[in-house]
Amino acid sequence: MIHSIEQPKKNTILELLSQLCAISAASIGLITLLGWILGLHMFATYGITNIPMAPSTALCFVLFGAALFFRQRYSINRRTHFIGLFVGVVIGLCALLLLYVSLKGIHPEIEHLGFSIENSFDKIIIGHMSPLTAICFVLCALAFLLFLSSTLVSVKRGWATLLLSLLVFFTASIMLIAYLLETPLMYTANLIPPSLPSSLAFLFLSFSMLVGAGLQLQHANSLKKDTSSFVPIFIIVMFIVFTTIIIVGSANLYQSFKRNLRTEISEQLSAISELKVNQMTLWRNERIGDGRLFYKNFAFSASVKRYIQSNNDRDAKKSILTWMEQIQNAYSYNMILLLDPQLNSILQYPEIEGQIRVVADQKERDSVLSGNIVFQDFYRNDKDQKVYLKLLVPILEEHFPNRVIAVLMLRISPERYLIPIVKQWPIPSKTSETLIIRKDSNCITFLNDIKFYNNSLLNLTIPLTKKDVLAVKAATGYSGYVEGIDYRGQEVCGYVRSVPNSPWFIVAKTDKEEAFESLNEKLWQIIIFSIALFFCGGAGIGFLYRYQQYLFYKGQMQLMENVKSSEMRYRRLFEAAQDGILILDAETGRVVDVNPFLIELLGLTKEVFLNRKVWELGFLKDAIANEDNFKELKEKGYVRYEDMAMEAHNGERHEVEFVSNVYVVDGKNVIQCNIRDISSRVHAEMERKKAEETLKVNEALLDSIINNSTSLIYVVDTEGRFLLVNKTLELLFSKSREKLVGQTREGVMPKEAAEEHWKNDVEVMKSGKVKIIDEHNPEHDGMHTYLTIKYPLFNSEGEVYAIGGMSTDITERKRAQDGIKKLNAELETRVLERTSELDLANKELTAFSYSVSHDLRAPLRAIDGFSLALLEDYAPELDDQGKDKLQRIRSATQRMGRLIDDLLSLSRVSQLDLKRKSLNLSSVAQEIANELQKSDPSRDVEFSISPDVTVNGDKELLNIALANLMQNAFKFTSRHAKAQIEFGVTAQNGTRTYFVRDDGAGFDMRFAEKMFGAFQRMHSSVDFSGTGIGLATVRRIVSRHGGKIWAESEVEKGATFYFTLV
Amino acid sequence: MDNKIILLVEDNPDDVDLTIRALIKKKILNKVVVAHDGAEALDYIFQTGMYQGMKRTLPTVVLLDIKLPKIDGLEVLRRIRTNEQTKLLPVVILTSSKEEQDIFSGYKLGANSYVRKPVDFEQFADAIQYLGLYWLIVNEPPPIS
Repeated sequence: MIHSIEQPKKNTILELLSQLCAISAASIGLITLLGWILGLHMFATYGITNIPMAPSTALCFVLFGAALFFRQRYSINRRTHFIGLFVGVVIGLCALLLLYVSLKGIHPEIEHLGFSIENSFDKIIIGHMSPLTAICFVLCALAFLLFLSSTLVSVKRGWATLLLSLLVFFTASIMLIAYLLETPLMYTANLIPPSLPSSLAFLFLSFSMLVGAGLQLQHANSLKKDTSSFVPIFIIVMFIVFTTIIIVGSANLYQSFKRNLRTEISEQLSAISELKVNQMTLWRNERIGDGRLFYKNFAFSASVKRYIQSNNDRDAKKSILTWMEQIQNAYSYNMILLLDPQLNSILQYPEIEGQIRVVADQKERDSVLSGNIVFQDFYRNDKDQKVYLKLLVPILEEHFPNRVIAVLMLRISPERYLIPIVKQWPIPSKTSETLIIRKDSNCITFLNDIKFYNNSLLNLTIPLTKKDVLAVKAATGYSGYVEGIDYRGQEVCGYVRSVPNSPWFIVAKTDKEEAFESLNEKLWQIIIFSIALFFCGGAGIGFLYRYQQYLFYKGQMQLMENVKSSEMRYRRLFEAAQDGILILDAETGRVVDVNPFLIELLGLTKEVFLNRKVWELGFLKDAIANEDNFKELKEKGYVRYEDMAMEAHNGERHEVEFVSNVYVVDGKNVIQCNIRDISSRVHAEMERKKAEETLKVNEALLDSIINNSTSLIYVVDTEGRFLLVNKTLELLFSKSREKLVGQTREGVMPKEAAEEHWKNDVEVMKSGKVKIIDEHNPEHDGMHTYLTIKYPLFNSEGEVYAIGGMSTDITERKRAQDGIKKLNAELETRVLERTSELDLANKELTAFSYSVSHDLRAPLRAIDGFSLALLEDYAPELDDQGKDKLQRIRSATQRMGRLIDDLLSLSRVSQLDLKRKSLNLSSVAQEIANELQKSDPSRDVEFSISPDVTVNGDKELLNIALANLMQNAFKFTSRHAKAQIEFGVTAQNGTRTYFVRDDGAGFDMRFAEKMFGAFQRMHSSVDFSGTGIGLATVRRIVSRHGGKIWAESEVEKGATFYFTLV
Repeated sequence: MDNKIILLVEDNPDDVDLTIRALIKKKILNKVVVAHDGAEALDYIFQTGMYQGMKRTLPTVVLLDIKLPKIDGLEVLRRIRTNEQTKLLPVVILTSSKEEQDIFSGYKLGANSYVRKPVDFEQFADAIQYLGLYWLIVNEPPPIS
């Protein structure tokens, strides 16, 4: 994924580059054509020494470049395709034709395109397409045609384009490099060499196609995801560019070195040659100066005159010879002759035998005889075969300066001085030497001995036609630094000059091999350096490539992992789905996969599903379960059944929704079926319908309740408008429901009443609480009162949206109630009156009781006390009868005291407030029993008390009651030797009943009821003492506790007293 | 024993005689001062009225009836208890009343005992004996000057 996002960016740059290259190639052709038109050859050659590009080639480049540009720039369509096809085919065929004719040596004039072109450039035929160019064009055309026809699918054509382009690219590179190294290809062959612009244009063309084809290949690869053949075009381009840079750079460097070296050599040679020339000029001038010694030397001319006139004048002769000798000694002339004007020797020094004949041409002779010093050039003496130089000095008569009386000839050997000067080379060198040459009529003659040619002096000549030869070049007018060959045919470089005032030329030359020896070294250095750089760069690019590959594969891996994790996610979804999912092969309809939910739903195993057709499985009862439906699905790509019956393995039926669609995975059609169990939904739907019906019934019920209610039932909104009214309300206001709903109360009620009702509504609305109030409404029969319940209705946000109300007419009830209230009030006052009366009575009674207890007892105590005092103080005076009577008074008094106490007790029992508490009656009974036993230890009474009998009652009162009962029991058993008294609890008629039982005297049941009245006694005081108030007190206490008391007995069989408490 | 005085506050002369008789019968021979009503009792205790300026000894115990002319017994008790000098004075309520109200009020006002006079003289004499024994002999009286 990462790649497909990043690539286009790079590609746009590369595409632009390739378009630019195509345009460049076309431009080169165009410029060349322009050059031809304007006659600016530089435009076609890019260098004086280069051959120009042929107009035909230029045209081809223009067409090709344009076609390629259009192909690259614009998306391929019919027009660009057609143009490309046309151009490719035409150029290819033309190139093929030209190649053929060129190789045959035929150069058709049509190639010039009408420009007048001289037919050769330094023997090379120009204005025609080079066979190499033609081959390149053929290759280019082929590549272009392939490129045109190549599509994203046809990768092979793309590769072929790439390969052909690469071939052209390398060819062009070689041609270009050859140019850069100044050794252009095929310049020496018979064939026409390719021009520099052509090389350049081909480089551009091939590069453009290379990039174009590469991009297309890459695009195709990225589409196919064919990673194995993935070579990023970027890398290739980079490598090519890098290589080109290295080569061009190296070549440039080499050229620069070469230029520098050449300059250096040139300067060196120039200096040397200049030195030589100077020396030679100096030597020559000296020689002429020698001549001048005799020229117009009238002393000498006098001697000569004298010698000529008086033949063999000894003095004259001697004088002349002395001059000669001096000269000869001083300047090393090997021969000095004195000649007559006919140039016959008349005197010689040193004297030699025979006649010496001086050779001189007419020009020299004339010059001498006209009075000029003539420097006669190298010549070979016939006699000694040696080479000399001669100086002819005219001897003029003193008084007749124009009259030459004799000629002095000074002969000098160059060997002595001149040759050594020339020969001498200032620095050690193997091949360096200086040549002196002279141009003769049709050849040049060497005037010195040279290193590689024996006896060259005047012997070696080279015809002027050999223009390559340096010496020839010197003689034919060149001056300065030249390169060429020397007399040996060796490649040399040299500096040529002419020696002023002489026919000589000087050539200071050295072998190229030697001169440029250091260049070779440099070349090797550059080559090694370039190779090193190449490998380094290659390694770098390789590394880059590897890194890109790494990134690419990393991306791929990431992608795969993403795919994997995505697949896992989907797998999870698939497995965890709460829908049944079936994956089918679209072709066969066989099950490929099934998810666990469906397996479980149908109660089958996975194996049952796999590789079987859906309609064979048979769980779907209709629609899909046949092949026709399957075909329909395949055609439509999507099928949906909303409600379909499905049967599980155990026969359970499910309602399902069946959705199925077709999609493509890895180029294969797959069907996915989603089966959703909607049984519960269907069920829920039914439930809902049922609920709705119930709701309807309820609603009707509610409606009837509301409408049949005698109360007014209504709902008003927050503005006070009726939302709902019942029949009673309709009747009250004599308006139909339709008219009432939406109305406020103002429309149907008197203003005051409406306001009162609305006020209540607002209160409920504000408080949000239910309110029960009386409301009033004036009606035809007077003011009516309604008991109204108002309640707020809340919406889902908890805000009150309406007020419900229920008003019941309570006018009648109210009236009745008022009556009752009045009665009650009256009753209250009466009760209050009575209560105060009662209170008074109570108070009086209390005061009475108090008086009784306090004041009645005091006299009794006095009676008793003083009776005893009488008995004690007056015992002797009293007889027995008196004593007995006093005793009776006392006992009566004491009985009176007990009666008073018992009465008080009874009255208090009635008055005391009842303080109920949880009470353990057993322990109370036990205490009483203990006291009773203590009061009379002599008695044998067995107490049997049920434990833990608890009651809720007043402790003090129950204590009194129980004490009374138990005292009675104790008392009425006193006649029995052994007695048993029992306290316990029993259930009588389902009521908790307490009892005290004894086995004493008992009583007659006829008097049972009477027994509980005050002062009622069953036995005589003689038998059993008692006040007759005890049981009355007990009954009072029991009845105060809300209970009952009764007794069961038989005479002498004991008695049982039962009582209940509430 | 000689200087221990019993103050008997009782309006009924019968009861006074019977009480003294009972004391004597039970051999309690301390001096008994009788006050016939509440006012007199207070006069004695606080040296006011008829007792003003007289030298008197504070009783060791006061036998106090409740129902008294002029100032009733409970009021007498209250005044005794509110006086700094006499607030620790032992006071025994000796009365015919068995009213709970009276018993409660008596104890509330700081009575040291509450004894009901029985009708039976012998029982009464016994009660007086116990009282005398307890308050005059057994009990260590509070340090009242």
